[in-house]
Amino acid sequence: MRKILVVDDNRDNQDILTFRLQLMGGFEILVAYNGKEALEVASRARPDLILMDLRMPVMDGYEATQALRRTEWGKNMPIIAVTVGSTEEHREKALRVGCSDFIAKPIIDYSIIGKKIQELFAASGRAAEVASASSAP
Amino acid sequence: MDKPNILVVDDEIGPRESLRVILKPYYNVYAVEKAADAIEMLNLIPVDLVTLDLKMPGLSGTKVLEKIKQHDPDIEAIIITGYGSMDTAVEGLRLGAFDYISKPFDVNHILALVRRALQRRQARVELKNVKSEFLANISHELRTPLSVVIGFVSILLDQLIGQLTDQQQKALERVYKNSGELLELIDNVLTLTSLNAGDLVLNEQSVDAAALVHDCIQRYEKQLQEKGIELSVVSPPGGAPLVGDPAKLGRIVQNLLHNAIKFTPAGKKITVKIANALQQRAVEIEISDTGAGMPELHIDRMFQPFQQMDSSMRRQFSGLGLGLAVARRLTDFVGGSLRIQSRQDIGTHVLLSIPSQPASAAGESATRVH
Repeated sequence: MRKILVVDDNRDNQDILTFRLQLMGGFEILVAYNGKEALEVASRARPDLILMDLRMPVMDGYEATQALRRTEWGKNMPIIAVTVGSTEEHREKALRVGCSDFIAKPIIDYSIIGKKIQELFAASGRAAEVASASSAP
Repeated sequence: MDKPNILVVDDEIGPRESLRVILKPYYNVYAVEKAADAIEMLNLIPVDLVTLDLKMPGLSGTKVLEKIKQHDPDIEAIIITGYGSMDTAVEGLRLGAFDYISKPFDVNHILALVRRALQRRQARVELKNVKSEFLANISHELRTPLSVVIGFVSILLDQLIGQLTDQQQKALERVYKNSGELLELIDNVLTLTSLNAGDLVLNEQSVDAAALVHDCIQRYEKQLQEKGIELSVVSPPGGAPLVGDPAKLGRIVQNLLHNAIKFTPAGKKITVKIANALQQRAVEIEISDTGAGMPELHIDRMFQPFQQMDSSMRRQFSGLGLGLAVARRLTDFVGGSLRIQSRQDIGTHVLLSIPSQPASAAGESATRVH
């Protein structure tokens, strides 16, 4: 089962997203409440995808994403930034620090997030295939 | 903190070198001879303060000062005047210079003046940062709880945690719709506040205006269905490519659509037409509705925030009229134009024209005045 890590400092938003993902089915959901926790959980559990809030106490999502990108296991991990407000500044900064995609909260259409997750899984699957093919003797 | 950067602009070597020697122990000093070089320097280094001789050949001194203030109104300027040329000093002060110094130079006076000017600049920059941060916080604090409300209501509405009776469904739909309105209102108030604070920046990139308009329309599909309004879209087959700020453009179109839908009675029509106006180097978006329309006299007033028609109209269609004000201000901001023609009882016709090239590429004629 694919593991998705949901990072959000707001418990209610965390629950909404987790509930929706559980209903989509097929995912094991992990949670973290700030960027630092996200790094701890991610290094232990190696999720297949992260939904990352950007504005959080202790360590924000930008910093956490940058830290993840510096690790060997996290450098290609699909990370979707999920944040309130849809300003282009947020989106641009999120993509600049290494997020794979961006979704604005409140999420109106959950089929979009499902689609984005599937797309990223497909892309990372292909990347893994390429990597294993190129490392094969 | 780093040493502040001071730019000395003077065509005479004497005063230029004296100022360099006086200021050098405390500041990074860059000295240039010509006004044109001064403008170029502003793009190369973050200048905090400029000393400027207003009587220079070439580009006149006052023009340079205007350009400097256009580049960054928080750059402080100190005018250097020759003996007895009070009029140029006054002219400089009128244009926003901090103070003036007469030749011959008094070292202590110059240093004290520069120090005070830099203090003023720093206070102003700090205030601006505090304002921006406050806005960002407010925006986050207002939207977060609202996004929770919308999130849980949508879970209930989708009947994911139990069946709803018809009445429950209808009641929740109202909560959902009003939460959406509140979200738009918050976005509009914050946009207007950022505009007033001079805190908005342009993020220009390649976008297809046609696709963007389609996305905006999609957000209102449910409302259109409920009201039984028929909306038709005409767009060019190859799309409407432009280089612009998609977030600002989206907000403008969304506000115009929102307005059209709100003021179009059930069962009537809205037409959205997207066209490439190649000659004007613009993309034109026309939104025509068959709504109540409004008397010409009232259109100008509609463009002011918090004003909307007369009280009977206000009762019929609640709302602050903020959307149109934001649309107009944002259109100005992105260098476009917005025209509204309206006839009472016939409908409203909105023509939005957005430049297809970024303001920076359009040359002198596109210099914006805020």
